[in-house]
Amino acid sequence: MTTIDKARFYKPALLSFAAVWLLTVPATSAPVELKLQAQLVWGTNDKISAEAGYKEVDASLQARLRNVFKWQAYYEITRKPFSVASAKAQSVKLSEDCAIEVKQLAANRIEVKLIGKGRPIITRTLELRPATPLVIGGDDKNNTAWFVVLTQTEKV
Amino acid sequence: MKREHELKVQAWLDGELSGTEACEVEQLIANDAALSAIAGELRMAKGILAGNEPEVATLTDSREFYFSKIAREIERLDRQPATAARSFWSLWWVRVLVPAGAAAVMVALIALPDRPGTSADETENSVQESTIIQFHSTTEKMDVIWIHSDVDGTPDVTSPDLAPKADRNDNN
Repeated sequence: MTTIDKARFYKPALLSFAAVWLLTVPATSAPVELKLQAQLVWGTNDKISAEAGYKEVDASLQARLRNVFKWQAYYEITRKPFSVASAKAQSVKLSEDCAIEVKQLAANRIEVKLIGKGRPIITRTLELRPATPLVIGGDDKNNTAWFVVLTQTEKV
Repeated sequence: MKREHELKVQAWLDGELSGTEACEVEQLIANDAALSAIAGELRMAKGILAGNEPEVATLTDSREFYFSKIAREIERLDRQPATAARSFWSLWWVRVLVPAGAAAVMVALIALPDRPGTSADETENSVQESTIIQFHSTTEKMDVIWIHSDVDGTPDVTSPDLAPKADRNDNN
């Protein structure tokens, strides 16, 4: 290969690598902090008196849950706003026995681990969108149900 | 009517008969209505064929020269794609952008964070697969994971806090 041939080969190759670097480096930069909110919700068909002190979830979430699940009333037990950044797992205790652990994997891709009585029950990796909450739920005693509602509160 | 007479009529129309034979056929046609009809049909067919004969292209060049021109044109067309390909790759920006684009795609696929819709959501269960239902409600725009609590060994997620306060009061 002559010097001219080498130059003709290496020049485009170097330019190619420069182009690749410029294209990929900004996109692979560190993800932005995610602002999230976790709610522990109790679903029931029973009439709960105002004196019981339970606060109903907001009307929008109430309607959405009602359209998906069989329970007619949804009460907020706990609401915990929190944020996650980089790959550090954030643990959020929602009740005596229930907690979640959230880890940010990418911009708005997270890993959610549901922990019950200190034991991991389910780990879910998903793309969280502001308007699309993740609802993890299960049966509870007396024909009621519990829900952990994870919502992104701010757009990335 | 004999087959021989029909053939003679055809030969007469084609002008292949001698004078005497032609006179005999003319007399036959005059005296025989069937032969006269055949003669009429054959005359008509001949006229149609003659009137619609495709024009044969006449070669202005010699046969050899004409075919050598075709051969040269075929060779020229065979060479053309190779020339076009060479001219495409000879463009400097093509030599830069094509490998850069390919490399960028490869790097993006490997290194870039997951984009919406590029990778499926995943779930790992610590409980039996059949006890968990996952779905996306498109109408209510929510991802749902439902865990049945009727499995032995499943830790209870709920806490006493979840029980209605009225119940707790009753228990106390």
